[in-house]
Amino acid sequence: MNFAGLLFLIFSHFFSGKGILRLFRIQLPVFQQVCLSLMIGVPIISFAPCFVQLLALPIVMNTMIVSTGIVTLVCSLPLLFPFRKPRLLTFTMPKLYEVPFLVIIVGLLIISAWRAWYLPPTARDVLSGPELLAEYAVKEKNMISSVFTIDLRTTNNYFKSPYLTCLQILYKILVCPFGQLWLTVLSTSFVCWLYVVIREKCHPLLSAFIVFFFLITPDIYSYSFIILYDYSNMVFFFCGFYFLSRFLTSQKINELIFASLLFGLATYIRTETLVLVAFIIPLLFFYFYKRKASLLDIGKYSAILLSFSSVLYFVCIYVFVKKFVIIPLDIKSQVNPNLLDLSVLVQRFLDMNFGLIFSAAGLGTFAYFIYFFSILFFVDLIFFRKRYNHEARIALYGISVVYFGVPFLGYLLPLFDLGNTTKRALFKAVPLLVWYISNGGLFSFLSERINNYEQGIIKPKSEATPQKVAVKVPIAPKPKRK
Amino acid sequence: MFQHRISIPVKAYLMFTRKIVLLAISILSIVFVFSTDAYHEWMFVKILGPGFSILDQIGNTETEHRMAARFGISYSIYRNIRTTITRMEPNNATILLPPKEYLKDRKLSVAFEITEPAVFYYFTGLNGVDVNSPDLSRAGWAIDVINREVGVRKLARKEERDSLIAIFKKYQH
Repeated sequence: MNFAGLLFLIFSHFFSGKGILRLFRIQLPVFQQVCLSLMIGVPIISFAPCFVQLLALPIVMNTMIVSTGIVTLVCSLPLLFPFRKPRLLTFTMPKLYEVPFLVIIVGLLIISAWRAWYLPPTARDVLSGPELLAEYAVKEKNMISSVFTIDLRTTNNYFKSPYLTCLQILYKILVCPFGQLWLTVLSTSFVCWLYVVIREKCHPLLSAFIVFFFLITPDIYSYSFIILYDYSNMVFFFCGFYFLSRFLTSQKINELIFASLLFGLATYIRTETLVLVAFIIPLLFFYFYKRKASLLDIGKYSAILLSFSSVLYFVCIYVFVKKFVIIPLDIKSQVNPNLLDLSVLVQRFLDMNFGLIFSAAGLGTFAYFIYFFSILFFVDLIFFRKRYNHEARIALYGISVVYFGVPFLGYLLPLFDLGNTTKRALFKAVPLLVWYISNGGLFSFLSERINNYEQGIIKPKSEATPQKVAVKVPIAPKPKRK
Repeated sequence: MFQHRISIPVKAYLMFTRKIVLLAISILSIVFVFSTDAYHEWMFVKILGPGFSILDQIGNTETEHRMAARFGISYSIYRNIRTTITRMEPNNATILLPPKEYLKDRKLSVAFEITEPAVFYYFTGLNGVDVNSPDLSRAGWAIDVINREVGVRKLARKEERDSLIAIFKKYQH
């Protein structure tokens, strides 16, 4: 393994991501900045081999280093401009009771990193598409390789986004023969960032538990070392929702644009995400209509939200796929010709629920995570409805977008099958479930209680039950008997 | 009132015991989660199971070994096929791939699985075609089963190729 190459790429991810954060003036604590920079840097650096190919240069080590360097330099230009650093919470050291969870989380991340390095790419969708293209692009120094001379009738995976192909090319040339380690950079940064974000919302014991519970979701953990599009797509879709939620709280337009960029990156990774991003528009309408914003403003916000996704969809399909895949792509042939038959949609929705989520197959995929969420959701609904905060509502909306949007995609695109594509598309909902749980009524109630217990704060009864105290106070002392 | 009266060391001690209680809760919750069926099987079979030991894997880091470990006997057979064919026909060999049902029917002695042409190309660098391929006429070799063993055979004559294609087509659904 070439450690120098790995370090070069990690620095490239970091500086390009940090530059993007600075460009959008996103204010975050240092640890979150580091994690988010690394995460954003992964898809940004994937553009480097695309530019090399577009310029008809050979795909060799020199061109990869130079193009990655140029992309990093261009993206980190905003770092040259002065930026008034805000006062933000610094990272606090983990508490004693977080240690058992952290030991398991770190252990699992190490195993994931090891497997990403040790095991070759495995998923069929990768072997018959991006990995095949990357392997022969490296061998033949060109992304338009001999792969297009063989019989490709049994697969359409070469039509997918160049995100995975390009990252594989970079890592194969600069790091190790199986590539893949970019996924470790992404998944480790994401888990760390999620942990810190959740820790701001609820007690460290609960946040450690919920992130641990997220990490041990069987299929999501597996895809943290098996390269495919869905893990990356899940990461950026969730990040988009997180920053959208921040925008709806702060009304800072830069956070909306940044959320749009994140949704755009999710669309660049899986192009059909564009449909799900469009499903988010009603949230903006509802939210701003309630606050009596003008229709023009609502339209403006919606256009901003959709902008990056639309541009990156266009670039992905009409530039990258068109230029890098010599077989013509007929999008019309991939769309359901009989859209008036809604029974397909209903059937897919039922199949997704009873054949995938709440079934033996679902237990193998998500284990008890969905059941855990369902119980908490009903507890919140019955006992803690008043404790619902802003983030919990937005997370619920996001979950609904995935829950109803994914079967809609299955109805729209017949190739979007149930057992593979739909299953993996549902990953997008899982970090949103974590986000909901950490902001939900029960967890905020428990956070408060655990915090009080830990600090030894005993609430006076008058504070806990003010009405009873009000009754007790007027009682006059009994007169003394002589 | 009670809080104000306790001394600082006692307060620190109480805080510490509360942290210990929370630590016990965190350990118990981890034990509870991994005692449930789904997580127990996942953790102790798929993550820490005997086939996935990092200590064993550290000793075998050669690329070909890792490929064979991941894809099993099928990968090793594909590599042998590649060696055999490239030795005899270095350029542009096209190999006819049998349908899965055909191999199943022949009751192979090893757990060999046939793959699609794209993945076959990834493993071997050779052009594979199945019975529905438009390039079927270019097939000069075929993967076949002889005495329950997988091997390659040269399709020297057109008749030989056509008769094998006819057999394979019977199994193609």
